[in-house]
Amino acid sequence: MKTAMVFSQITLASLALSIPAWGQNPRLEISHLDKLASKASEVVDVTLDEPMMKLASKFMAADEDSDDAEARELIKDLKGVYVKSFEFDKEGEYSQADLDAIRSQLTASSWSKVVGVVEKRSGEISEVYMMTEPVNKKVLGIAILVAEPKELTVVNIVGPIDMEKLSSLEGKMGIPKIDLGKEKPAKKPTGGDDAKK
Amino acid sequence: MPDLESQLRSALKRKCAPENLADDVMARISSQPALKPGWWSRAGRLVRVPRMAWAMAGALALALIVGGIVAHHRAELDRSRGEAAKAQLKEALRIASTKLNGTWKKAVEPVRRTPPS
Amino acid sequence: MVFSIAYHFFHDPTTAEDVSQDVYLRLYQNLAAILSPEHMFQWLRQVTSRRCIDLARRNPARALVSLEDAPEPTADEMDSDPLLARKVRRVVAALPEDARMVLILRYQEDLALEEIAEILEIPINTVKSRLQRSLAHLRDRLESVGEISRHAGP
Repeated sequence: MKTAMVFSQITLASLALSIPAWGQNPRLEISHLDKLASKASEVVDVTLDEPMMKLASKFMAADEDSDDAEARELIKDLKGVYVKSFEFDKEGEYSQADLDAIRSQLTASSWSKVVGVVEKRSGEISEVYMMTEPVNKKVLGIAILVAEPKELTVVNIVGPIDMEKLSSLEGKMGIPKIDLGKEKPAKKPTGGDDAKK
Repeated sequence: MPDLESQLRSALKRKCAPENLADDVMARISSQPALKPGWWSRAGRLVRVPRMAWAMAGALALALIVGGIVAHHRAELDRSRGEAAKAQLKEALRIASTKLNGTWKKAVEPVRRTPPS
Repeated sequence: MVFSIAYHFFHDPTTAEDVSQDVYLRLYQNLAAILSPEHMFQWLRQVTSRRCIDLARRNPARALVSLEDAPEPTADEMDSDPLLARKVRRVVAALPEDARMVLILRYQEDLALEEIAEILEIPINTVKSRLQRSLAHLRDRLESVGEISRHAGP
């Protein structure tokens, strides 16, 4: 799939440019965002460290759902999954300082930005970061930051996660599929002047 | 989509009793009069049992019952913890996948919109 | 089980503890009447239900602790969606006591309608109608604040 190829190329390019650093820690500090919960209309707060991941995986193994099997394969070596997602009724409920506290962790260490989009008109930021081991390029963790006027989401996955497999979970496990803008096939001619000829 | 009944089962799942409950119950029982023998006494071979022994046997039976209920609750608690962890993980993966793909979509969208020269 | 039924009924751990102590004390006093462990669980559910409903009727002020102030027990288990679970519990705790107990016996204890009817000593049709009305009420309350629809995929 062309999209996957381009995605992979971006990933490889980012990896080639990544500067190894000592003391790599793929776990982000995001607890400062907890104060936003009182202002949010919707909150998702997930903190699953390694023991809880093992417990979750064990219970997924008990299910015969094939989608769960795929998720289980994805998470099997993960050390932690951390999500803080807030939806607000109005804009301006989180500050630039809240964002900077996260981004400073991502730019000052051995994280590499895989893809980043800044929409100047709306001020929306969507960024995906990856941390890898300097020598063998094994993935140590990923971070996803999405900041919209009325929503702030931070996802931090610690451990060797396969981003393509994570991406392919959409359409399964109740995750709705997002149209990634694949080209539609050309329409067949329906008659008209051509038919009269 | 989680339906209402699933939400009710999740919200109303058993809460563990506080650890001091068994002690508090036993403290109240110790001030109670002796029991009449019941089904639990048929397991023993007591023929003539002083009143105090019946009270203690009853208290022990109740302690075992309460202890058994607590153990059952613990097993239920472990199960509910596991189910909750699983649900949280699935939610986390759902959000991660959605945001990842959404970011990618935003990245490729301007490229798609650019008309060929 | 006893504590949990009382907790979800009153949404108050202190009252739930008091009720639990009363129930276990009554169990101790009535051990002679218990025929088997299965009978004991049934007996416990029945006495707990009656005790909760009686207490709520005798003392309406105590029956419903201010839901905003009611402390949740310390986190010994995780809800998959803590906010939604809390809202569901609040709406349940605000139901009339008879309907509330039907919901708790159905969704906490996972009892069949016949078993609930036996425990509460009411006709099964009454159990059915209380259940249906409660579910409809809950659905309205939760949909009106967008709780259930939030989970709907696009």
